[in-house]
Amino acid sequence: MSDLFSSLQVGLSGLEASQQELDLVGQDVANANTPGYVQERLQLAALTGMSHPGFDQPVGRTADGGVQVTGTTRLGDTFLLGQSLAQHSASGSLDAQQAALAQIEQAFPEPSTNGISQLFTTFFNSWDTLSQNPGDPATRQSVLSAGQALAQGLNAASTTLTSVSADAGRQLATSVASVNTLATQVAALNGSIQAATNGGLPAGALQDQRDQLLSQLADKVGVRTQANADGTVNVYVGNEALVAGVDAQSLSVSGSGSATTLTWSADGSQLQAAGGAIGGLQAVLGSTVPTLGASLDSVAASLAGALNSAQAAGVTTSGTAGAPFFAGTTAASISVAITDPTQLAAASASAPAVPGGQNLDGSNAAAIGELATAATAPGPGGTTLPGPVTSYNQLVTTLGGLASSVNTQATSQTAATSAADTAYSNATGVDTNAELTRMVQYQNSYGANAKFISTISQTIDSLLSMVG
Amino acid sequence: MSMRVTQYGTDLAMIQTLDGGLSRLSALQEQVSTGRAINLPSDNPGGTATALDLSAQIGRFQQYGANATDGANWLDTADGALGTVTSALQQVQSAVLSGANASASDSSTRTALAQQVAAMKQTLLQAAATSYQGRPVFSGTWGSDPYAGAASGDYTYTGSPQAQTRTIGPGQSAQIGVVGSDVFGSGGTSVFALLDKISSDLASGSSSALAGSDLTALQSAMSQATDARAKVGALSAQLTQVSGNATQKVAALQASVAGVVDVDEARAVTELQLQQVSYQAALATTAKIIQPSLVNFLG
Repeated sequence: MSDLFSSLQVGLSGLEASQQELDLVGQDVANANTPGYVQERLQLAALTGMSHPGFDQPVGRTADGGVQVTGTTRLGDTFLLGQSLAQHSASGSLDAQQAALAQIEQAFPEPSTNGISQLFTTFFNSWDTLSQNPGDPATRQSVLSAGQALAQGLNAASTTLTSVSADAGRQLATSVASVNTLATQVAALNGSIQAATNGGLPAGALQDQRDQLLSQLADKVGVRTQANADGTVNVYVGNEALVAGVDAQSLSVSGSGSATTLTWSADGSQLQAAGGAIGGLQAVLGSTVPTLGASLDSVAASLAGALNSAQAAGVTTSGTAGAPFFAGTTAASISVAITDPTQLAAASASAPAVPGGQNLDGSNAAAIGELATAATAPGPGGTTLPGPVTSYNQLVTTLGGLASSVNTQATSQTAATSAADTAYSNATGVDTNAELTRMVQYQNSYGANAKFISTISQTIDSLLSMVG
Repeated sequence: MSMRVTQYGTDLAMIQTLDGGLSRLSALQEQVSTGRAINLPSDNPGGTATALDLSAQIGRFQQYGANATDGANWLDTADGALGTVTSALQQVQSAVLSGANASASDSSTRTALAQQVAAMKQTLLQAAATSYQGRPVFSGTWGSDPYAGAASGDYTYTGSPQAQTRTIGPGQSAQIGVVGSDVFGSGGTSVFALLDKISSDLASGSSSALAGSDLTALQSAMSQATDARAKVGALSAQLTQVSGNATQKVAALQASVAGVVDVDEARAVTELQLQQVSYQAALATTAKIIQPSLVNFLG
C-alpha cells in the first residue's frame, strides 16, 4: 500500500518543476533579442526513495518520489564563441585598415582631372608653352604657378598621410584604453562567476555579460580564450595572458607614427601583430603609411632631381646658368625655389650665346617638357630614381592595389564574421518557436500535475468519508 | 537533431544579406551616375595604371599638337615675309634689266630706277624684321633684331646662327623657319648691300656692272629667297600634318582611356536592374519570414 500523503508531495514536486520551467520560458522569450543572451535549461531528475519524517516507510519500497530540479545548464558553445571572437578580431583589423586607406585614397582621386597626375601634365606642358615663347613674362609666370600647384599637390597628399597616421595613433590610444578597461571588467566578472559557482548559485547572467565583453574585446585586439573549471575564462593575446582568472594586466602605448609600440604592464615585453582594431592600426602606422609616404617622397625627390638638373643644364634669357627650380626633396617640404620668373632656364647652354639682348632659345624648356615621359631622374646623392610621372603612377597603382585587396578581404570577412555570429546565436540563443512549444508542453504538464493532486485529494476525501 | 535556428540568428543573417544587396546596388548606382567604372584607384588598380599612363600620353600629344600649330603659324608668318621678299627682288631684277638697257644719258630714268631699288631695300629690311607674337622670325633663337645696324648702313646679321625648334613628338623636334643670314646674307655680301650697289650703279649708269655682276648676284639672292620659301612651306606643311596627327592620336588615346575608365552603360544599367530585382525579392522574403512565429498561431 502506498502512502497517499507522499503522493501529494510527488504532485507538488511536478507542479514546482513545471512552474520553474514556465518561468524559464518566460525568461528566454523576454531575452529572445538580447545580444549575447545564452539560453538555459533546467536539469531535472526523478526522485527516488523519498522519505518524510512522521510517516512510516515500508521496507523495500521503490515507488518514485517525484521530480527535482538539480540545477541549470547554460547552452554555451565555447568552440563557436571562439570562432566568433577570431572573426571579430579579423574584421576589426581589416575595418581599421580599410578606413585609413579610404581616407588616403581621397587624396589621390585618380584617374581624373582633379588629381596630381593632371598637375604633372599642366606643369610639363607649361614648359613646352614657355619653349614657344621664352621671352613672354606671362608664360614664364604660368610655369612658376604650375610648379607651385604641383608642389602644393604633393604637400597636400603628404599632409593627408600625416593626418591619417595621427588619426590612427589617436584611435590606437583609445582602443588600448578600452582594452584595458574591458580586461579589468572581464577579470572582475570572473571573480563574481567564481564566487557564484563555488557557492552553487546560477552564474549564467554573469557569463553572458562576460562573453559580451569578450566579443567587444575581440573587436579591439585578437584574443584567444581558455575556459576554467570554475566557470572563469583566461584571455590570451598572443602568448601573453591579458586576463588570468581574476587578474588582468594592461597595455600601454608609447611613441608615435611608425615608432609606436605597445608594452605589457606585467613584464614590459612588446606586443607585436595584435590583430583586431589595434592590429589593423599597427599595420596602418607601421606599414601602410610609411610605405606610401616613402613612395610619395620618392615622387618629390624624382621631380626635384629631374627639374633641378635640367635647370642647371640650361641658361636664362640673359645667359646665366639656371638656378634650382624646386627646394626640398620630400613630399612635405617640396616647394618652388625660384621666385623671379626670369630665372627659368629655357635656353640650352649649348645654344649660341647671345652677345646682347635676349636669348630666346626654348630648347631647354622643350627638353624639360619631355621630362613628363622620362624613365629615370637623378635622385639625391648620385642615385637614380624612376622618372617623376612614372614614380607617381607607381604610387597610385600601389595604393590602389593595397586598398583593393583590403576592400576585398574586408567584404568577405564581414560575411564570415556575420556567419560566425549567426552560427553562435543559432546555437545558443532563443528559438521562440521552440520556447512556445515548450510553454504549451509545461502548461499541459502543470495541468496534469494539478489534476493528479486533485485526484489524490479526492481519494483522501473518499478515505476519510469512509472513516467518518 | 535537426539544425537549431533562432529568430535572432535569422535576423543577423538577413541583415547581412540585405546589407550586401544594398552595397552592391549602391556600387552600381555610383557607376551609372558617374558614368565611370573607376572612381578611385582601388576600383581597379590595373585599369588605373593604364588610364594614368594613357592620360599622361594624352597630355603630351595635346602639347605636341599645340607646339606644331604654334610652329606652323610662325612659319606662315615667315612665308608671308618671304613672299614679299621674292616679289620685291623680282621688281629689283626688272629695274636692273631696264637700267642696263637704258642709255647712259637718260639720267632721270636711271635716278627713278635707283630710287625704286632703294625703296625695295626698305621693303626687304621691313620683311627681315617681321615678327610673330613680338618675336623676330628671322633671328633664330635670339630675340634681337636680325639687322640691328641696318639704319646706319651696317648689314651684319645680328640674329642667332641657330633656328628655333619645337618638340612635335616623343623625342622628336622640328626646326622652325630659317635664320636671316640664310635668306638675306650678312654684311658686305648681304642682299641689302647688293641693293645699295645696284642703286648706286643705276644712278651712275654703269651698265656693264648692272648687266654683269649685279644681275648674277641678284639672281643668286633670288634663288636663296626662293629656296628659303620652299623650305618654310615644306616645314609648315609638315607641322600642319603633325598637328593633325596629334589630334587624331589624342582622340584615339581618349577612346582607349574611356574603354578602361568609363562604364559600359548598357551592361551597368542591366546589372543595376537585375540587382534591384534581387534586392526587392530579398526585402519581400525577409518581410515574409520575419513576421510569423508560433505566437501568431497559438490561441
